[in-house]
Amino acid sequence: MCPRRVSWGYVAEAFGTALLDRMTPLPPDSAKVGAAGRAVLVDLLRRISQQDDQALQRLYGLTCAKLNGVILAIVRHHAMAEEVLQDTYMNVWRQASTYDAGLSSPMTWLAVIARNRAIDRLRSERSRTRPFEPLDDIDVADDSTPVLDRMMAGQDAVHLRACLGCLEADQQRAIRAAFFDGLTYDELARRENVPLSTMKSRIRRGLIRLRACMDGT
Amino acid sequence: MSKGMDRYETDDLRTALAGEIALGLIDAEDAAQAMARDPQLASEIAKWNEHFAALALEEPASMPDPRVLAAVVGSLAGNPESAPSAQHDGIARARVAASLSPVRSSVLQSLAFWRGLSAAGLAVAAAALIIAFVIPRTGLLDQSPREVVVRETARVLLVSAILPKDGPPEYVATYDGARGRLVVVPAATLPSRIGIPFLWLVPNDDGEPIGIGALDPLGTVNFDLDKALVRVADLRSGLVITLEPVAVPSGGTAQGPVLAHGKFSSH
Repeated sequence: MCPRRVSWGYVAEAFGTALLDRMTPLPPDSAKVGAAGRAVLVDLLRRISQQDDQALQRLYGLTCAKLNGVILAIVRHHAMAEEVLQDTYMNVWRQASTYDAGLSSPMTWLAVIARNRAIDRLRSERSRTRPFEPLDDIDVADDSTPVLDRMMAGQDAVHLRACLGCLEADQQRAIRAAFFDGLTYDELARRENVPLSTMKSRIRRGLIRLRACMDGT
Repeated sequence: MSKGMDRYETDDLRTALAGEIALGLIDAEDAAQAMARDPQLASEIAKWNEHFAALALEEPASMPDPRVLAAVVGSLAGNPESAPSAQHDGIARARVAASLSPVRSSVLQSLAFWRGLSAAGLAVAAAALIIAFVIPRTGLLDQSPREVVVRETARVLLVSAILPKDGPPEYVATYDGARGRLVVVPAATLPSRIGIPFLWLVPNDDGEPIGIGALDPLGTVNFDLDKALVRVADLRSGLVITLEPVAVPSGGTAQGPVLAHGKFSSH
């Protein structure tokens, strides 16, 4: 049975209040920056949209380590990750005026840009070299991430991870490969040796189940 | 029901399509068409982005090489479309952007360039970069490089990485001789220090240091040099950063230890 929405009470019960105490206050470059940190990032993005280069440098100082971690998890190569990171902040510079604080948190917006740039780079590299890695190499149930890091990503990540675990193995494998490796439908279908339509159905069913789990329905 | 909505027999299918778009499984053109057909799709995509971003942000942080920031700053300097507006203190950068050729800009923008510089090679490379800036712009190729460089110092951009004895650059300085403006940018997330980082100009790299002003480890600082300083700020000048216990008064001398040193030229 898929879990209900995780509350901080649940997290405290599961991991202990001492650990929660250690998490406060969170470091400035963490993913979960809190309401005050969020306001700072929103203000920096507003200033960047007005072409304030000092604000971009400040934003870089606050978020570069976290975004580099996001990119590194996708491209898995330090030098390439740093090139993508540079590209990411140039995109932030150009697109800051499109950020809508009512639609997403600043860290989400930044992470989406970082992830998209990383996927673009990965696909570009893949088209020039080997087509893709075997799916078997992908660690579906990767629990090696330190507990504190996982929790700093917030309860959404804890909950999403739990809900992913509720999917069929082939569904979660495909969704994770699409997310972290940027595989296309064609690549996923070839990798799994199934028809394209089968792969599409597999992922769509998985996404619907995942969302139902996330919404607690 | 609209034609676009025919695709969705249920909200579940909209949810799935939004998830596919968030995952990057739908190409951009198809995604844009789907979003145009279904106004509710954007908010669904945003929800998926929120969920998936949480998964991505679960990854452990990894501090990038400090030179990435220098490359970002270089990109801002070299991209006329993105140059800061005049009301901000990136005026020199905007002017630089207007004056740099694409080839020269690409050098500043290249992370590989900044990453490839060893500590020992930075000063030489900076000098080479400066000469590369100067010669194509002046068209005075028939003159000796040194003659050209010295003559053109007052009209071109000079670049210097300021680095500690061991380690990557802490700051990158650019000097716009035409305006007498020196722009100093932190090239790394610098460690917390007790004291004030203070910049000194060293004429001929061995003269008496002249205090320029306090630096900001978190952001850009612009210095508009007076005429006396403009006369001595050239390719032979050195830049030194000391850590001062208190603000240095005008005409004062350094009291604190030297943190970093840079040269506009190795000549």
